[in-house]
Amino acid sequence: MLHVSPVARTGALLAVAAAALTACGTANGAGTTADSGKPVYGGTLVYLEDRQESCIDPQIGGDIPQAMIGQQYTDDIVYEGPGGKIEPWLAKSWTISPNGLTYTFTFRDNVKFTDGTPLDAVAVQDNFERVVNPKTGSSTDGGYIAPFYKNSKVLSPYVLQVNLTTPDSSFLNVLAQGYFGIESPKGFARGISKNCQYPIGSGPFEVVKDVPNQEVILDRNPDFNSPPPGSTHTGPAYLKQIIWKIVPDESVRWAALTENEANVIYNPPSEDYASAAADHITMFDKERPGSPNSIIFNTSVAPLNNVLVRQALLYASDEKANLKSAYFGTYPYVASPLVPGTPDYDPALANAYAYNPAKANQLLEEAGWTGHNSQGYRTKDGNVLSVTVPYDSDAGQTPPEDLTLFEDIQASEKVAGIDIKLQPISTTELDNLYEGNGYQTLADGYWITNTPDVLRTLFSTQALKYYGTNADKYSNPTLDKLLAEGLAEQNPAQRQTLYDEAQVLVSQQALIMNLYPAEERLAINANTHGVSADYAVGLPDFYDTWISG
Amino acid sequence: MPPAEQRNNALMTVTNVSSAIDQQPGIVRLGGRARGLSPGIVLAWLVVAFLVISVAWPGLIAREAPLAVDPAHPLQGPSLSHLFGTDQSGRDVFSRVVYGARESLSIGVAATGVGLAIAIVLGFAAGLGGRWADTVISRFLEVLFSFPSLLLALLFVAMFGAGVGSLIIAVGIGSAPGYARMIRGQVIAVRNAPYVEAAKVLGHPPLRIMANSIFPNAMRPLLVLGTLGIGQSIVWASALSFLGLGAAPPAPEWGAMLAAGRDFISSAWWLEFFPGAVIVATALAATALGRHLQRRLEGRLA
Repeated sequence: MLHVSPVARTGALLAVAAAALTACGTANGAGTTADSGKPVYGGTLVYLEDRQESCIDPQIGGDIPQAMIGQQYTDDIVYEGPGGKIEPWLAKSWTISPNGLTYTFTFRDNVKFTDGTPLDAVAVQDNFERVVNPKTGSSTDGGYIAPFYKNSKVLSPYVLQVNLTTPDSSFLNVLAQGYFGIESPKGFARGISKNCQYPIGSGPFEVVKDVPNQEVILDRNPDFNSPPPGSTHTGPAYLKQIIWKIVPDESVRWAALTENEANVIYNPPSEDYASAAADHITMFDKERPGSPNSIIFNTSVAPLNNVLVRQALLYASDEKANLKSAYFGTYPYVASPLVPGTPDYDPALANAYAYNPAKANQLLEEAGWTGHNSQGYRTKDGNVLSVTVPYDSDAGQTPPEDLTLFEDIQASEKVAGIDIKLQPISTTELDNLYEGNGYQTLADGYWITNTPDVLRTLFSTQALKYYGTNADKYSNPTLDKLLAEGLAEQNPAQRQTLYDEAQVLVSQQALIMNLYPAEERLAINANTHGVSADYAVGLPDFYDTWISG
Repeated sequence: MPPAEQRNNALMTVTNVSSAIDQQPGIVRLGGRARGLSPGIVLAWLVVAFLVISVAWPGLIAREAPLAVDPAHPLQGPSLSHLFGTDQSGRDVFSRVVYGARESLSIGVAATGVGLAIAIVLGFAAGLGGRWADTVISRFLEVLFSFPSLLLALLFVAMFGAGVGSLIIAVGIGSAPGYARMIRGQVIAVRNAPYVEAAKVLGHPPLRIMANSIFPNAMRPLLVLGTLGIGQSIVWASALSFLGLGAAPPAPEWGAMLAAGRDFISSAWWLEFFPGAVIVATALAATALGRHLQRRLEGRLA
C-alpha cells in the first residue's frame, strides 16, 4: 500500500542539520563499550522496533521508520558530518554555480547496487526523476526536492548536473538525509509495490526477506565498498545478518532485551532508564533536528482560530513539569518551533509560554470565554470551551508516555476551564480526519529535518496549498516572505536573522503546543558494540556494529 | 419444570384446570425462607455492598478525585496515603477503582439489559411465532453462535466505532444469542404447561395468557441468568476496554486502567493488580450470587 497518511507525513521526518546534535546520552559514534576488544565478524543482530510502514522504501511516503531501515541497505549522495559539515559519500566531489542554481556531482566509479547494476550518473538521475514525480507519492523527498528541481543532465557516465529553479540553501543537507538513499533503477522497473517490499541499494546490507509489519531480514552485502566517512572500518559489515522485527509494546521490547533475545531495541520505556545500568544495558539517545514533537493546532476551526485561545492553551499547561513526570526526566523540553541543534535555532525562545495560569485566564476572558458551566468549563454564547485531541491508538503508534503526558495536560487545562477531550482512534480514522479537515488538533506532530526550512514545510501558504503538510492550516504572507528569503539567502548571518524573525512569529502565533524533540533512542545489550547514529537525522547505523561472544 | 408431554393431556377436567392454575409458581421473593448463608455468599454480598456504595456515593469511600493528577508523584507504591498506590500521572489508584465501579458496572448492567432485551424479542418470537418463525430465528441464532461471543462483540465495535455506547451494544449483542436460545426453550416449555393449557380452555384471550402466564414464568430463570450475565459482561467490557475499544482516557474504567498499567508492569505491579483483582472479585460475586439464586429457585420449583 503506497498511500502514506498526511499525519504520518506530518510526523515524518528529517532534514538536515547541521549542527549540533546534542546527543543526550552517549554521543555519536560508538554506542556501547568502546574498549571491549577487537571487532569480530559474523553473528546476527536482532533489532526490535515499535512500528513500520508496509513499504520499507523511504522514497515512497517517507516516515522515520522507513528511513531507519533504508539507512541499512542504501548509501546517500553526500554525508553530513559533525557540525553540519557536508562531506563526500557516493559523490566524490561537487561544484555549485555562483547563482546557486546548478550542482554538478562527480560520483565514485566503483560502486554497484546489490543486483549488480552500476551506481552511476544515470542511476542517480533516475532517483531524482522518481521522487519529483507526483505519481511516486514521495511526500518527504518529493516535498523537499520537487519545488526546486528543474532538470538534470548526465554529462559523462559518472557526472550529473542538477539544475534548480530557485536557489535552495538546504539542498545538500536534504541529499544527506537517509530518506534519499539511492536505489537501483532496475528495482524501480519492477513497479512500486515490489520495490516497496524488496528495495535494492548499495548499502552494507541487503533485504532478503520482508514480511510487512512483522519482520525484515537483511543479509550482509559481501561486496560493500562505499562506507560513509564517519565509519571505523572499511569493506563488508561485521554482522552477517540483521533481523529487524516489529514489536509494538515497549515493555515487551524491553523484556526481550533484558532476556538477551534482542541486541538492540528502539524507544525503550522511559521508566527503565534508571535501572538500565544495573541490567548492563546502554541507553543511546540522539536528538533529531527539525520541529519538536508537539500537539498541532488547526487554526482554521473554532475555537483555535483565535490566537488568544491558542496562547491560553500554552500558558495553562505546565508542559515542562508534565514532560518530566511522564517521561521520567528522560526528555528535555523544547519551547521553540525548532529543536536546538537545527541550524539557525533561536535560543531566545527557550522559555516561551512558561507556565502561567493567571495569564491563561486573562487571555480567555479577553477572548470572551467568560461564563462557566456546572463542571467549571468556560462558556461563551452557550458553547463550551472544548478542544478534542485525537491520537493514534493503533498498536505501537502512540507511546504510553505520550498518553500520560496528554492526560496530564488535560488535567492542567481543566483548571483553566478548557475541556480537553482525548479521542483514541485508528490510523485510518486519523487519515480521514486529516483529509476532511475534521480535526481541531493533532497529537504527535513532528518533522525531522536538518534545516530551518522545516518552518516552510509546516507553516507556509505554499505547504498549505501544494504539499498538504501544513496541518495548522496557517497562512500568513509575512511569514511566507521570511521563509522564502531565508531559503534563498546565501549569507549565514543574514539567514540567521531571517529565521530568527520567522521563529518569533511562529511562536507568537502559538501554532503548536511544543513538547519534546524527536530522538533516536536505542537500548543496547552488553555484547553488542559499535552502534552509531548518523548526524543528519539520527538514523541507526549498524555497519560498524559487532557482537562479542 | 413440567414435562412437555403434558401438552397432549387434553382430557383435563375443569377442576383439574383450576388447580393447575393455582399451581403457578409464585414470583420469587429474594428475602424468602431463612437458610444458613455460606461464607462465600456473605463475601459476595459484601463485595456487592461495596460496589453499590461505590456506584452511589463514591465520595464516601474514595478520598481523592479520580482525575486529579499529581505529576510530581507518579508510580508511588501502595501506602497509607494511597492504599492502591498512584498511577503514571500521580492519580490515586484506589479512588480510580472506586469511581471506576460506576463506569464498569453500568456498562455490565446496561450490556446485560441490551442482551436480554434483544433475547426476549427473539426468544418469544421463536417460541410463540409458529414453526417458520422458530426455524428462521433458530438458524439465525445458530449462525451467531458459530462466532465466539467476544469476537461477535469485537465485530460490532469495529462496525459502530469505539466508545462506551457502542461497547454496551456490542457486548449486549454478543451475549444475546445465548439468552435468546434459553428464553425460546423456556417459552416452549411454559407454553405447554398445564396452567397455560387450562387458561386456554377457560377462554382467556391470548394476550392475557401471554402477559399473565407465559411471560412471568418464562422469565423467572432469567433473573439467575441476568445475574450471572452481569459478571460475564463486566469481564467482556473490560476486555474490550483493555483493547482500547471502550472508555476514552482518562475515564477510570477498570479495563482501560489495566491497559494503561500494562506498560509499567515490571516496575509498578499495583497498576495491574488492583483493577484486575476488583474485576475478578466483581465477576466472582455476580457468579456466586447467580448460582445461589439458581439453587434457591430450583429448590422452590422442584
